[in-house]
Amino acid sequence: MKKHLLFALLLAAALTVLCACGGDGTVDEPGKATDAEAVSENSVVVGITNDMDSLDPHKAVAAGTTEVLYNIFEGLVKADPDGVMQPALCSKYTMSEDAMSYTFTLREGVHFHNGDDVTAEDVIYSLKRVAGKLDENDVNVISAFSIISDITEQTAADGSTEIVVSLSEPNTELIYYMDCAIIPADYGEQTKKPVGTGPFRFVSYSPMESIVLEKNSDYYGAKAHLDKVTFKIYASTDDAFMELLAGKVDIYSYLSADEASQIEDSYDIVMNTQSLSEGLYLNNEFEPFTKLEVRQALSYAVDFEEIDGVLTGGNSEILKTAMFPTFKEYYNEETKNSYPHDVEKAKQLLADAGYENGFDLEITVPNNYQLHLLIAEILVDQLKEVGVNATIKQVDWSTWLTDTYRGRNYEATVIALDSTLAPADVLHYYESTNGSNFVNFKHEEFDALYAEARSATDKEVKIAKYKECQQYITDNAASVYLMCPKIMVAVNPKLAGYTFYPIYVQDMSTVYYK
Amino acid sequence: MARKNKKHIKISFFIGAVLLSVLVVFAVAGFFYTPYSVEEVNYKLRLSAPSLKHFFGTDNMGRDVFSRVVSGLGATLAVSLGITAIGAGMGVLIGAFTGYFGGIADEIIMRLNDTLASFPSILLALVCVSLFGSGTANVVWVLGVLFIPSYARVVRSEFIREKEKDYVKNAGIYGASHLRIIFLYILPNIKESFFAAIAIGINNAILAEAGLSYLGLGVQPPVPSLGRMLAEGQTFILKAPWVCVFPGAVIMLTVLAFALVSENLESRDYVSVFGAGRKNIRNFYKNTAAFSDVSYESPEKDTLLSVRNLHVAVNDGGELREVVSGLSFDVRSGQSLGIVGESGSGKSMTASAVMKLLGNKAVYAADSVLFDGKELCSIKTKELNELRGSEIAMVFQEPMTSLNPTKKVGKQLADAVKTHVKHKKRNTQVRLNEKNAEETAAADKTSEEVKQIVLSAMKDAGLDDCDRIYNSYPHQLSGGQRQRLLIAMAIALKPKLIICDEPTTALDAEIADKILERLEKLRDEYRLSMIFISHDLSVIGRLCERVIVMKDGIKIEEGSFKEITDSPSHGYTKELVSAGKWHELFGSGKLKSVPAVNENQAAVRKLTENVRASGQKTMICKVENLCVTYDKNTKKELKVFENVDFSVNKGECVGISGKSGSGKTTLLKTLVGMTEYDGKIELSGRALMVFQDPYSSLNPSMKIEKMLDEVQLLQYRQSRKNGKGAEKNSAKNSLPSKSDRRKKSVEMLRKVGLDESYLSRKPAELSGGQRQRTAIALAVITEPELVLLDEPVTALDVTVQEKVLKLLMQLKKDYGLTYLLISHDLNLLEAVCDRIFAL
Amino acid sequence: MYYVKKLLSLTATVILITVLAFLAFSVIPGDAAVLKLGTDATEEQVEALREEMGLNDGVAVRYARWAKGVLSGDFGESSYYNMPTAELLGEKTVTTLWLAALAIIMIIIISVPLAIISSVRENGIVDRIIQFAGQICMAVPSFFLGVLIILVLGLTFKVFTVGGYVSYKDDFGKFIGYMIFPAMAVAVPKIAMTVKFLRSSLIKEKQKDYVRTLRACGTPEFKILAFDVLKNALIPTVTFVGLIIAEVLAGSVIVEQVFGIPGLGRLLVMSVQTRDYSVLQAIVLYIGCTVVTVNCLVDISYHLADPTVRNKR
Repeated sequence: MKKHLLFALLLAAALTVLCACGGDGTVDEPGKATDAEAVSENSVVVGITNDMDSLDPHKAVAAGTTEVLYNIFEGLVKADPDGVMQPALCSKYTMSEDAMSYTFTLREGVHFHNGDDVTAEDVIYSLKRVAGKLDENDVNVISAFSIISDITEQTAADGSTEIVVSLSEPNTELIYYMDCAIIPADYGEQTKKPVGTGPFRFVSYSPMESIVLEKNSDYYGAKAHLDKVTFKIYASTDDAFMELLAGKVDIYSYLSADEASQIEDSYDIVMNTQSLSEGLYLNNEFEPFTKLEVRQALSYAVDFEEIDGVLTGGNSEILKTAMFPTFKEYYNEETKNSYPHDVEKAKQLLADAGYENGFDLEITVPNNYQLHLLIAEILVDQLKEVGVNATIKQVDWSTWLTDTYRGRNYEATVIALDSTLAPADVLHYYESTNGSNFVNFKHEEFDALYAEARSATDKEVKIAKYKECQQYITDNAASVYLMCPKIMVAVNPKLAGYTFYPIYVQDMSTVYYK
Repeated sequence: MARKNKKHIKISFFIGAVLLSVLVVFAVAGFFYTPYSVEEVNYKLRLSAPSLKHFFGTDNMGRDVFSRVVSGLGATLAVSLGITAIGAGMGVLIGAFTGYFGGIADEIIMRLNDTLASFPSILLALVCVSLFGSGTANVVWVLGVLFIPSYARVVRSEFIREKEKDYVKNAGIYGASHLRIIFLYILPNIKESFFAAIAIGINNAILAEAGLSYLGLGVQPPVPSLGRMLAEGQTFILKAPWVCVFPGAVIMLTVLAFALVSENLESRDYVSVFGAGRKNIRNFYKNTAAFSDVSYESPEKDTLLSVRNLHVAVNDGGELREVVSGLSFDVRSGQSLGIVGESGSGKSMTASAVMKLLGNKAVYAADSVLFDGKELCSIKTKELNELRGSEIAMVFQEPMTSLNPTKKVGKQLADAVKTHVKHKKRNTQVRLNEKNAEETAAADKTSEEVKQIVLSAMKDAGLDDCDRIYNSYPHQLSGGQRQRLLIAMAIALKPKLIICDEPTTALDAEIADKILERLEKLRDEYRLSMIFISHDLSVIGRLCERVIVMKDGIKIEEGSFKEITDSPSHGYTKELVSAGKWHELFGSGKLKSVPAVNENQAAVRKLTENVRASGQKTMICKVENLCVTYDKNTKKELKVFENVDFSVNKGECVGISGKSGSGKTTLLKTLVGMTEYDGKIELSGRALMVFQDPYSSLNPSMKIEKMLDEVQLLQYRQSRKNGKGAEKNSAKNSLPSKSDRRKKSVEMLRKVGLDESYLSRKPAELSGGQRQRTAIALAVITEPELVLLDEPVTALDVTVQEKVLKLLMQLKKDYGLTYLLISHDLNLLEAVCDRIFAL
Repeated sequence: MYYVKKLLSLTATVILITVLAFLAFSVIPGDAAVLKLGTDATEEQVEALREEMGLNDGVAVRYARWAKGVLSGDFGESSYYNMPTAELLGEKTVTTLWLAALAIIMIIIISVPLAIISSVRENGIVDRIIQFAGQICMAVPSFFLGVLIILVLGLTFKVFTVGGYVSYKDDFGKFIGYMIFPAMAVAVPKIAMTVKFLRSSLIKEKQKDYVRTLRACGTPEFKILAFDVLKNALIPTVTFVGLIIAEVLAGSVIVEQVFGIPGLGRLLVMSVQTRDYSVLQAIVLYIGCTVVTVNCLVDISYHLADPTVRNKR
């Protein structure tokens, strides 16, 4: 499972997420959803608002790109809608007791799009390339794979070929990273003409315009229903929305609540909670935030109902800790009702910490995702009630990445952190020594707990430990967690089968015309 | 006198001003109070339509759009004013200095300006904002810098134009420093176009800020900005259009208000008759026909042109002012009629009225204008066009501008001829006119033959080397040649009547003489009848048998030339007759011998000295082998004059005569230190100058009192600066108080014949004569040792010239001044000068 | 000689532009390497990629390398799209050129007749209306105009299919059909400006003495207007339109965003966000060159059209 961050939607243009309640005056419905010739051709136009950052699966970083490449490439395993890693290019996989090695049995008779067979050599080449073991200066590497010591091929008793991945330290969660793409060995043209094993084959790509895929007829699994899928790239959400109104697009995701309300009668709106932790992240080394009471005061000052009501139409799920419900048994339910909205308590805490008449706060906000800006604007209004006067500093995405995230020179920032399905991945931000600890949350106690949770092999122990970690984060108010925002997708009423996965992807193979 | 028409404020200016004040009031109020706080989020009321509670409705977060728009307007206005302040402030300085000083600095800065202009403004804004972080302050200085080129360019071109003017040179001569000239003299005069540029600049600033905010880079939340509101509102355009429409509309209204205001700031250099309003014109026509006091007998049979009760009116500040009232005259075929009068007497207007060339500058009415039996008052334009050029033609005063600069001369003449040739072919009856029978009889007129007509007309007009001239452009020909071309154009189709409107006034004496000679020959050869208009009686005498004298639009006398000159009945005519005869005026004897002025001005001759008057000889100015060459050692080196020696004694009036372009003015400039020269000039004391053109020698934006005060101030500073130098004069030592200086100014004005009320007037409110008197007062008030007079009276009306010249002589006596007088009119010099040089 | 001097100063300006642009980029925070790797890359990985992309060398070195490349026709590789800049730029430039061309054609076709009408019937009602409408058009921000056009023409009256952009390669007719509307959004404010300028130039020209001479020779009014006055009035207007062309080319960024046209404007905004230096530099060079050449062409045409200017230089 390739590790990536949803908020790294590299070029998602300003996206407005607004609540849908009280949509007065429905839109007079301009043209029918799909025009005639699209149906006969059994093809679909999917609107996306960000361009491909690379067609090479191992180089693509932006969530917006991996969403699309999901249809072309497949890994040894693939997550199903409930988050369980099902076998894909491998027929079955087993983990050794000591969680020091994983064995995958290669599925027979699987071909790449260019017709070649998928061999063990291709798998080893791909895994090594992703692990940065091929050549030292190969840059795109999944950090979790650093613990892989060796990848070898062996033939099993029944003659099938097996791939054994041995580790330098026990890790029960590595399976979640094994959905990384398997590509033909030494095939140099990935960035121009990508070749994978997925249900769709690459046809053409013209920057800033569109990327076209067609059905892979000899796909080993459930074949795709559609013959052709065109991902149309729009300059901005407004631009895309205009075409929605004109009925030129079949599927369009990341709808804002308000956009959804305007096209309710011409499109079906399907919804799902995103596995994202949207919140006001506090730089723990910024003076006032060094004090626990101040961080807790802010958590009390924030009113989730108003934000959810205004911005996501009451559909989002409240969140008071770093992990989100997608992790099912690992998720610590109790944290949900901590820090209820209580202005008096917040003022009291601030007074205790010596800030009775509040302090100035600059909230840095990346301008690539409108929800962050709108939340920040509401927070400014809410924080004023407890005496904290906040101002907003908008920066473009690359400045946020370099200055705020890596440089850590910020006071507070509104962002949404995502993760792969591995529980360890969602909490690694809070490990003192970790490079991604941009909130500077440095607590040995937490590091110890986190290490124990990661190395525990027994599931019960692991769950308990992870829950403790979450409780620690919530009690110490590492940051002000708000919600898991809802994602809304407009789907042409003639279509069905649009499925959501825990980590958001646009799986076109399940979509079909009714 | 061009009076500024205050009454006539255009309605659009009024609307603009009202709109602007309303917006500004809202914006300012917005800073203190808005119905709802700008950030107040209230999601129950999201996207509610405009209502009494929320005038502009609410936006996607339930915030009141009206209060956000009002404070947004305040922010936008503040930001654009900030941008304009930086842009205009810096722009003025850069424009002023590069325009004024020129040279390499000018070149480099202009190069930078072009680069900045061609740099995509959006990119520069993106770069700077990402660099310094977005936010109001950064947006202001980034866009401020971006707008500098537009202001610098406007100010620079204005400075280049103004610095050539005489009042700037004068200021330099008085000793004003460069900075003083730039800020006190030139800047006030470019106020109007600068304010217009500012108004446009503010518009661009508003649109640029809105553009940047649209891209999310401008003013940052929570500060509301109209541009960003517009961008955010775009998504609900269908569902809640008010969120996006109101901010957009307010931007538009603000920009519109500024545009309307700025449009009327630009100086009004031309007001058409229609400006006076239809009503005025209609009732003007009504009452003219009523009274025609002069009854006139019906025209004899051989009269070519008879004009009865002609009235012409021009638009003067909104109402119609009559310039010709009740004029009637006849022209018999083969006879020449002279019309004499000073400028403003309406003589040119009469000619244009007859030819219906007034366009929308003036309006006319007449009982009848009969030409060769046809009534011109009610003639159809098509028929009139057939007459003009072929039957009745006109020669104009200004040869320099009367030809289309971008077309070859031959072609222009050919086109004029061709239009008439086509007329002739169209109306089949072949006009039997024995003069040009052979040409019109030829069936088809090919362009080759038209060319022949033109070439023969050019020869008639006295042009040689016709083929070369035929293919050259107007700017490649001399004034004399162009005037001959106009004459050729007029006579090409052998018209019956030619109207000449001061054809020789703009030319040099001897070329004018040749042109008049040529006109005489043509008139006799083709038995043309002619109307000759001039302010100079002697010119009219040569050509016309009968003369009309006009003053202020009325015919005051009519008769044969001899009657008018020998026994003028009207006082004004007497003045006209005696004008220009300087000897009688000044009763000074003729000079023994005056060197003939040689034709070829390129030849540089040693100055000959002609001594006439005796007198004590304290030398105050000595010049030895003076030599001036323009653009020294470059390809275009031009030697103006060399080894010029002469001296001027105290109390003398020395004259310098020479053809135009012989370097007279340059000589004066060297004395005043305005041009480099080689050779030696010894000048004991100060030399001040009176320029030729009264309209450009006074600072248009300064009151007379300030000018006179300024001269005394500067003179005092200069004398204190070189007080330690040679000339130590106690009277000039201590700075006279303001009231003393004012008293001296009043006394000086009285001396030049202007009363105290003129102190508070500006040059625009004075006549040509009054301006020249002021210029003289300025030059004389500080009693300089030497006063240089560059053609002081040439540009004035004939009668006024005499008065001003008398004033100069009077002042010379009173203040014991020394004059160095330049004129192309030799007998003027003979009348007043003690000694004369020919250059 | 004059042309050589003109050419030299033009090249100097272009070089100056590229140097300015390069300095500007090297100063912006955030760089392509970090962007490529996303959030979870380690320090060494970022360093390695930065080395690979040559971001660490001094500004001068990078500029020299870039300049050498440009002279040999290689505009370097887009760090974001991993494809040669020239190829990426090629198609987008044509789209923007077409947008600018359509806008300029509109400006010329609409403003000349309007200016003539309003100058012939000066201060008449028609003239007043045209002037007032001009004021309003100049006051409308171009992106607001774009939104209005989409809303009114696109969605309500369905005159054109919103978002119906078709690349000129596939179907030229549809491409032009769609491009007219963004061109309108770009052109309208510029038309108002040109009409105002040409009208005042025509009125000034009509008062000149040579027009009076032509009338005196009996040339009919419409001939004077058509041949002499219009030609002389157009000469200064060419310079004015020259400046506007430069603005249209550089300024259509926002209109491209509103209409979703994959032109240079959009590429410009995107490459700044992705710190894609080679593409940015190429765009700046392109816009700088176009603006400079347009000014040069305008200057030369002014030179040829107006003989009086010719020998003054």
